Amino acid sequence: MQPPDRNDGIHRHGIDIAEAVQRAPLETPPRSAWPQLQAELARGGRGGRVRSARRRHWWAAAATLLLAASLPALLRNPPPATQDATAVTTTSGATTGISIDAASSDVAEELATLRRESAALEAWLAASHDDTVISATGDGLRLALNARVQYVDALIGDPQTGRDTQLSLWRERVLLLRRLASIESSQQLLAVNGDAEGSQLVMAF
Amino acid sequence: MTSVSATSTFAIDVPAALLAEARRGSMPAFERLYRLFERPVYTLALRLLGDRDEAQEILHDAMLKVFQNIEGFRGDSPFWGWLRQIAANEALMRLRRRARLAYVEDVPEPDDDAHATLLPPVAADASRLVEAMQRLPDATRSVLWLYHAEGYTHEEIAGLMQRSVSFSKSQVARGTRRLRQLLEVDHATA
Repeated sequence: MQPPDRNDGIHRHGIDIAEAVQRAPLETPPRSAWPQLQAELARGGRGGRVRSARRRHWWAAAATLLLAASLPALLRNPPPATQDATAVTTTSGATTGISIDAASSDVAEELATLRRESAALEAWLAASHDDTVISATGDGLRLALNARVQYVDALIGDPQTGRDTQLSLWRERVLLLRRLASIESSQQLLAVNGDAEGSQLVMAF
Repeated sequence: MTSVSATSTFAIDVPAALLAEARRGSMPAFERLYRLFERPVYTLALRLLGDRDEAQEILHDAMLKVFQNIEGFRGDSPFWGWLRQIAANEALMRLRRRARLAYVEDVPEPDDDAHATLLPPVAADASRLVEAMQRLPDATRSVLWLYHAEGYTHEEIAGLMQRSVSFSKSQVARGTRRLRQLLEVDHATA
């Protein structure tokens, strides 16, 4: 590491990025959030349990509805398969339990695969989207699917969501992105053929 | 997953007595905690989201979540690390809801520069640096801030952002290079 030329941390060739960002002063919010927080905490009782419980129920209901709604799609287009976490049949025909570690490793592997596919699909969608190619049908579907992706994202980001539910949600996210990609490519193909407005997109949705 | 980097602006020791009071639901204790962490939470949210109104909302949501769940805080890591984790999660969840974090390929960036972590001296001017960071893509700016300002590891960032470790590494390298370019241009045109 090159020694600094000055005692304020600025080197001959510049300033280290970590040092530079740590020098940035703290920001002050335009208004205090405390009065509102105080009111909400007082309304919700100690620790705001009322609101917290209501929110958990809402999340649980949302997750159930979402998974129920996507079940037909999951059945038509199954996501990457994982081993049954409870038991497998060996080549000799004996049934044996899979260790928790092995199952956990499978889940982690599938999660990584789903995240990669999800990121790749998002990249493709970001690069391919063309605002000039629109149709009422396609845009409606796109909006609905995007809303569901955001819904899934909110559930994925909820710290209360368990690992198994996370896996299901990531599968759902990939399926939704695949459908978005399918709409995008269909729209563009139809636009090339001069049929964007009159297109009838039939989506399995 | 709690980083305990002492470089973090969140690294404030909270007296055990104050935490005990807060666990009992004491409003004055909540207020004291709010005052201690108001600016670090707001700053983190602002740096990640780049929007003052949204940062204000995150300040409210994150603090509310902290107070609602404080009984669940086990105390086996610093309180500030737990609080920061909640604030970062809230901000990143907002970014995902807003427009989805722009994806950039998970390709590790080569360190082709002997001064790969150095920025031009103009970066010592915090306002110029913050302004340049605002011009980075959301995902890149977020990773850069979490890594350099908050001291999160690449593994921790990958977990927070639901991406891979190589994604975090590539964003740091890419963001540093882009920041250097932006600041060099600023410096040349100043």
